[in-house]
Amino acid sequence: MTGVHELVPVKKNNRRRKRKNKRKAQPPTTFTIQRSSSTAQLGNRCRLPIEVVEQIFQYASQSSLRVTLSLVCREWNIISQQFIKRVGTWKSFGQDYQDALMTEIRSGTLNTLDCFMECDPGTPFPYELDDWNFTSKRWNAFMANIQSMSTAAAAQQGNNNPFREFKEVRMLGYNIEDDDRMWALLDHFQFIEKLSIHIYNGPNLWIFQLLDHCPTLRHLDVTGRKGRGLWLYDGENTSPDARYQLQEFTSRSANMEDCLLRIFKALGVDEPIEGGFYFMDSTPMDIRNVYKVAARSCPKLEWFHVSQSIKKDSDEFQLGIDFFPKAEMCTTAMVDLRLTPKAWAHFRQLTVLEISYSTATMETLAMILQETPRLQHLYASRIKVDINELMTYNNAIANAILDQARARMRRAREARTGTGSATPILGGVDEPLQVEGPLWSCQNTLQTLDIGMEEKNSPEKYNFFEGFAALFTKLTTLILRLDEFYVGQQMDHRTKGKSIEQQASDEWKHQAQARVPHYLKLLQPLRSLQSITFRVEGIPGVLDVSDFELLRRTIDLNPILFNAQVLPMGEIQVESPRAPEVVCWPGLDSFKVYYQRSGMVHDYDPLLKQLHELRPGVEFGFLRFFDRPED
Amino acid sequence: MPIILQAYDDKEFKVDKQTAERSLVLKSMIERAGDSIAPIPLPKLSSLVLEKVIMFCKHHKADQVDKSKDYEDILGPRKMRNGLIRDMDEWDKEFIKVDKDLLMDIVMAANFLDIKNLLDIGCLAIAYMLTGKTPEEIRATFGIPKDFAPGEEERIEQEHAWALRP
Repeated sequence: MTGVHELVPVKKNNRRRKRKNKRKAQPPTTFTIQRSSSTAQLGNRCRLPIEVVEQIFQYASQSSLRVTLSLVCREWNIISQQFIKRVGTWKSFGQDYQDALMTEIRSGTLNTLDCFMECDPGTPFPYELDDWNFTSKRWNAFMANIQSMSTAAAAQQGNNNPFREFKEVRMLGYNIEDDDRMWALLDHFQFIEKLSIHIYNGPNLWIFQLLDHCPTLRHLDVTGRKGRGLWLYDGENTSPDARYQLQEFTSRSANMEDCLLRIFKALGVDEPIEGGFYFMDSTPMDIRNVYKVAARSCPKLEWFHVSQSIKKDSDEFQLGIDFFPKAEMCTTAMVDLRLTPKAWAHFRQLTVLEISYSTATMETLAMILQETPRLQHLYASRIKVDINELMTYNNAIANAILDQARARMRRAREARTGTGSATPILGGVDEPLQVEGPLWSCQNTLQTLDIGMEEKNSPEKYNFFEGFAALFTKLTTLILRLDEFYVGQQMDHRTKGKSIEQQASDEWKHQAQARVPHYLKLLQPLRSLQSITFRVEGIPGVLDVSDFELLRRTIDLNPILFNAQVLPMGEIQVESPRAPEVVCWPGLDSFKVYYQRSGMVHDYDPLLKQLHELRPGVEFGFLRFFDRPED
Repeated sequence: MPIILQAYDDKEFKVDKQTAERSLVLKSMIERAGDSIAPIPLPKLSSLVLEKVIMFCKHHKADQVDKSKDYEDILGPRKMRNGLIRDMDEWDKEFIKVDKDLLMDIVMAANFLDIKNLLDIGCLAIAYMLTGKTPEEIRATFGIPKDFAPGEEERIEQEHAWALRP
């Protein structure tokens, strides 16, 4: 019988437990083992199972593995062997160690070299390590030693490479950019198959140099202290015809290595498994070179993932097209670029697109809408939309619509001044707009839209709603990021700091209240909406269930109204005597408002209750930003 | 339906299903038994250890099933080794601050019940505890007999020591 039941807490512990809970039964004394130094009497009874020992050894430092754990018993010695590095990592790279290493190198028995200085893989705490400056001096000295030794060896034994037997090297790439000695050293490692390297400095150009140096290299593992840029390819320093055999590239650092991972995965294999790119914006790089490399390494690029800002006028994507004539980029992508129109031609397969580029413009948005016929989900929260501006980027159809809308607006005004009665603008004009073909190519596929609003004054916002609501009739999920939900012209940057109470005149309240139904009104054409989310700076405390009347019923609207002109609040009239009562957004199941601050009333529960009665199937919520589980 | 766990001293612990299922062993038992599960006897665990184990499972019951794997995914294997103690939950850290014998019991129990997270932090704590101890002290701690052949110990010592001298 071996196992847990023989191990029980020592007495002291039991006593403590007893005090805590006197009713607890104490383990029978037969199970109690008196801990003592007389280990002999215990025999093997208390041995930890091998798998547990292995687990513990995994976490043990190299030094304790060597100095203590391997000296405990035979079994532990055997187990420890698999966790001890063949030529160990070291802390201070002492003279004895260097000597021993040299001896092994000389005798040709060494085939694995571990050269980590700072990162001892087994050390639990990095601060236990010696100052690496001190170590690096020794490292330099050691390199010089090896240099001279190998030169001498070469002189003595002809061209006998002392590192011929090396199959695996782990090394610290100290200042690899300027350090010729490093390259000289790498010259000797031309037969290695596996290299783990830690870089402190320098661009990553060396990786290709390295591959040219070591044509047999199959496994490369890079860790980097800093991402100092990424220049993968340099026509002058690498041989263009080189065939790399690399099959595996692993790295534990984020950013640039991640990107390299993908590229190297594709390198040297005839059929790229997962050829593609992944770039982070913290990787300063020359994307042209990346293209070159990728074109060389993965001609059948399968995906493209970029999160990188590139100057508006640059021709990177033109280059991309040149290099990847056959590329079918992205079925899902996060694109963070201002793209040239031609580049967008490569994104025709996009179904999901996230733009997290904060200065992305209307132009970008227009391009997306125009060039991605299959787009279903657009997350463009950082883009502040101004529908008029957007229109200027669109095609003739858009202009035609705009013209028609203007004309209609004009006629409506004329009619109003003629009869003296208010003519409803929404739903009140008999003549529908003549639109031939979809305005945007993804108009009929777009289901999700997450978008911000232009910060300036409100008329554009209304126009935006009208425009978008009319354009994307298939939208099921709409997330709108409004700076204000309740105020129009009164609330701009200058008044944001003021308290709500300061601004809360009766008139203001009235207007504020009017905004909410107004926004809802404008969303009416989006009949298939299932989820509406407003993300707003604030919402008025004066909200009342009658503001949400449209959730219960609506009027039938004409499909589209585009108004490039300022549309004053008073001119918007939704009520129409001939409108049949139909449920607005029949498929709606979620209506949420996220806000940063509210007006006078902070408790929206009564309102929520009423809303729930109004529309029982819908999940309503007024939530503060920080209540959100996830953005 | 609560699951009843019996320690070897017949003390019974009622736990909810989610808590019990942190242990893969118990999980498979529960799955096999279905609704009509009888009290599960755990004759290898003292009530003290079992209580501690249950405490852990209860705290972590809402975790993803294989949280430690997630750690590894996020941090990478090396970072996991280097940083896990620092990155450990405060709660875990406090939880594992126990007497070394109890710690070992917990590790054995975690191994027996197959609770990966608990095994991980337990082993890490043991590894941490072992640093700086002499082989003799370790043997005493674990009750391991010294079974080296004459001269073997010296050989091992020589093999490793040079690499670590400054």
